[in-house]
Amino acid sequence: MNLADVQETMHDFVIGRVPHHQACRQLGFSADSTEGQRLKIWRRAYAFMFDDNAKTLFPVTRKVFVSVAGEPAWSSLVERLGTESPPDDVCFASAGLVERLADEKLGVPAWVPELADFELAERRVFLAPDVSRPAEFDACAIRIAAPLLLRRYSFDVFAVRNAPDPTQVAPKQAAIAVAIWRHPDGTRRSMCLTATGARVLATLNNGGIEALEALAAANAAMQRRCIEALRKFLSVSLIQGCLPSHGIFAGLAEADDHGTGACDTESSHCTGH
Amino acid sequence: MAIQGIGLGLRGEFMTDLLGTERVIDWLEIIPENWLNVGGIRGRQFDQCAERWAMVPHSISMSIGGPDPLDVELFDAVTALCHRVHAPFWSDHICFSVAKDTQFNDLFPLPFSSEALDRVCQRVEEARRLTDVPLVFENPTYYVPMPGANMTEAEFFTQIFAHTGAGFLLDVNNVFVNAKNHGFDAEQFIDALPLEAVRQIHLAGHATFADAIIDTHGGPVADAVWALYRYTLKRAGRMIPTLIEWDSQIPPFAHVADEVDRARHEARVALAGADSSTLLSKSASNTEAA
Repeated sequence: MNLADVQETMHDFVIGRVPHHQACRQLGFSADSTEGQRLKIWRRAYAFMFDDNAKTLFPVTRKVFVSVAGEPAWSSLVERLGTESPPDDVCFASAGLVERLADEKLGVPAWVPELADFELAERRVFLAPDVSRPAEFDACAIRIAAPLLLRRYSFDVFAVRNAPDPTQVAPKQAAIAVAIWRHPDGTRRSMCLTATGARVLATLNNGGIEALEALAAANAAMQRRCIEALRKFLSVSLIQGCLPSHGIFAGLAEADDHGTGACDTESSHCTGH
Repeated sequence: MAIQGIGLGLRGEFMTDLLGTERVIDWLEIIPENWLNVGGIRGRQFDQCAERWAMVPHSISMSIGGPDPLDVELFDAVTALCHRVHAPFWSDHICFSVAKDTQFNDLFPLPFSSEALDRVCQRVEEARRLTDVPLVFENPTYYVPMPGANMTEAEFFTQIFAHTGAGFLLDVNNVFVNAKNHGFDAEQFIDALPLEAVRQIHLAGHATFADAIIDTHGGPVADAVWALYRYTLKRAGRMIPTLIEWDSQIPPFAHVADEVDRARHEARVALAGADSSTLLSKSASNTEAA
């Protein structure tokens, strides 16, 4: 057996496309032998890696899915994903779960795939490289927090996200309004607004403030809520500074909890400061 | 930036505690795949670590013996990271970890064959055209010997390092695990290795299961592995920068730091009578000098 054949057999067995007994036969030992039993170690490790990654990327989705469909269904889902969609990026090995949840009839509420998509976006944001900021940002002590401050998931997230152009859609009147969309340049952008508590205006990537302004300008209701929220931020000193050109549409806030496990807010609860 | 003394594998789980510690950690090893293009609070913490400690990238996805072409983007990114942190070298494993575009996040053994030897040697040359960072390779564990072998494991590694001139990262725990799983003498195996090529040593915990001992990196270093570590240093006759790996079931940082202290102690014991100044970390040296 040459090197290429060994490697192909290992690949196909580990991801679950070749059964154990067949892989053992191809590698030259019996399935019951010590070698045969130990071969399973790599298969188990792959499954564990996939499951562990899914738990990291989709902590809330997993909780919802397990409560509705049960742990075995989750394990089966992740295992099939590992076999049918092997990863090309270790950090996001189980990212295909979003499409899988959307495609398959799994008996979970329709918003679960949206939740998974949002969690994946959050993780990508959490790990995303820093973008350069104009020097005047630092001069004004403005800090833009990543969009990781959601108190609860709600359909507001999805109503806005699903819009062809969310900047032209008025979110429903709710405690939390979130907009997430993909900009034509490919960057993911999002924002979180709430008029009921000290929430931050969360923007992502260069141009986030401009996008926020555009959203506010295009929608009077949103603008009102935005300003109300920012007034609250100001009243509790959460906004440290403002760019004249950007009005008050930026600030530094503290979050008191998270929707998901990702956090990059420099708030006391997550940095310990 | 050269490394010396006892290092620790950087893990997000204890990053905040690490940055606040006064315990002596001489250098850090990083898994570059986890830190490439990472921003935000994690990125800032990483930068703080890089300012404080020497760093060595230790990747898992170079796949030097793999069937797929070398990943040029990975080489570009890790090379840039190496330059940024002034890494003395970049290490990976003699194995394959990518096949048919699948990133396994695991290390699969190569057959100890002439074909695999040629493959690795040719790919090391190819890799050197993609990076100017010195390359170092580790001996991995293997639970099943791959078919096609026509030499021993020790001969396989010896020839690779002889032919390529690459550095050797000797994982002592892996030697122990392989020796137990495959019934050979770990010390004789160490004797047969080109210890003069060793640039770094790895130590980690393992776990014993019904079918095999597994290199889990999920606990303290076993006493038998400490003994093999002392044996290795005695055979080498010099201090070799040593790293504590703890990747799963990570305890409070203080416990991990205890392992670093233990490694420093074991190295002292092993090299008692040798030039002890080579054992001391920069921080410890300064303290003692004061």
